[in-house]
Amino acid sequence: MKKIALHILDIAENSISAGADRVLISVMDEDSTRLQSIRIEDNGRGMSEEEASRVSDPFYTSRTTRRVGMGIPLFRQHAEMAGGGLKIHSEEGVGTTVEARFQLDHPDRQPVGDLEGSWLLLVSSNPGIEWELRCETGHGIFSISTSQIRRELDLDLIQGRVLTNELKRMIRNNLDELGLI
Amino acid sequence: MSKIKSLADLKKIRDKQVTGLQTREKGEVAENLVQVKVAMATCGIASGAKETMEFMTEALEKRGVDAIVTQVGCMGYCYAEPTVEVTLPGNEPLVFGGVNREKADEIIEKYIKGGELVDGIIPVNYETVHRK
Repeated sequence: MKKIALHILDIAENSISAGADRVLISVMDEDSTRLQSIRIEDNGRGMSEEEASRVSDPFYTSRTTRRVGMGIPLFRQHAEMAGGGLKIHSEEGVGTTVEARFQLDHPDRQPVGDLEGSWLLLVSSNPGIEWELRCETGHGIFSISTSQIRRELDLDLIQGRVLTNELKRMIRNNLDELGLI
Repeated sequence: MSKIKSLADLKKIRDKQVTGLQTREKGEVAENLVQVKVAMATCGIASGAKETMEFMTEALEKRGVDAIVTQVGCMGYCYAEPTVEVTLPGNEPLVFGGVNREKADEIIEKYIKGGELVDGIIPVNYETVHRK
């Protein structure tokens, strides 16, 4: 995984498996602390304390196809490499929040990458979920959600359909303006 | 043209022209469509499944194949990622391994459009070491 956007895609998959119908992805660059925070927040079934404490162990997984689970451990590793860390807050029946923090000026911090691509891929593959993307930097705030797209563009997000390149470009233009890299 | 910055800008464009966004007729069943599932767990993503999925979605649309492309979790073939499962209407699903852009292109042209088998199929009787 070379880009944050790929980690987001990966971690959000856990929210889908947890049966969430709302997932908020946020990327925040804080000027005062020079930290970048990436959050994936869902209202899925959540985890018990014991389970939550084990997900950073690569040899723990809820899956049955194989015995390792690398998603969270890799994300944690990359956050720690960039002078940050990873926190998980989970409550059974309420949801899970995964937050990774990176030092903005750390030479080993991974670039954010194709955030709009990851988000639209999640949206088009899982139209039953309310997806929200929120980005905030010293330059401003940008947010977009599936209900907003449905409402303002009056369209159905059909599973597996390409969303217009225009939509992708629109999100990119906004992210560029925020100086998110 | 000025930069598209908001959904309102998009709406203006959309009102002017028909975009790539299409809606399905209600009642149209998935069984009659080509179904493509791209494995997108950590292993898949790390191997480039995102690019594969974006390529397949776009290429199928451009080449006029009515298909549903979705992401799924790990299929258990981590050694062969990115893996893609293709189900042609009325056929058993087939899983292909090592699907980069070139392979994806070959799968679309030969298997999906022509029904001709291509290299890289993972046999169904393949068993993972760890059986539940």
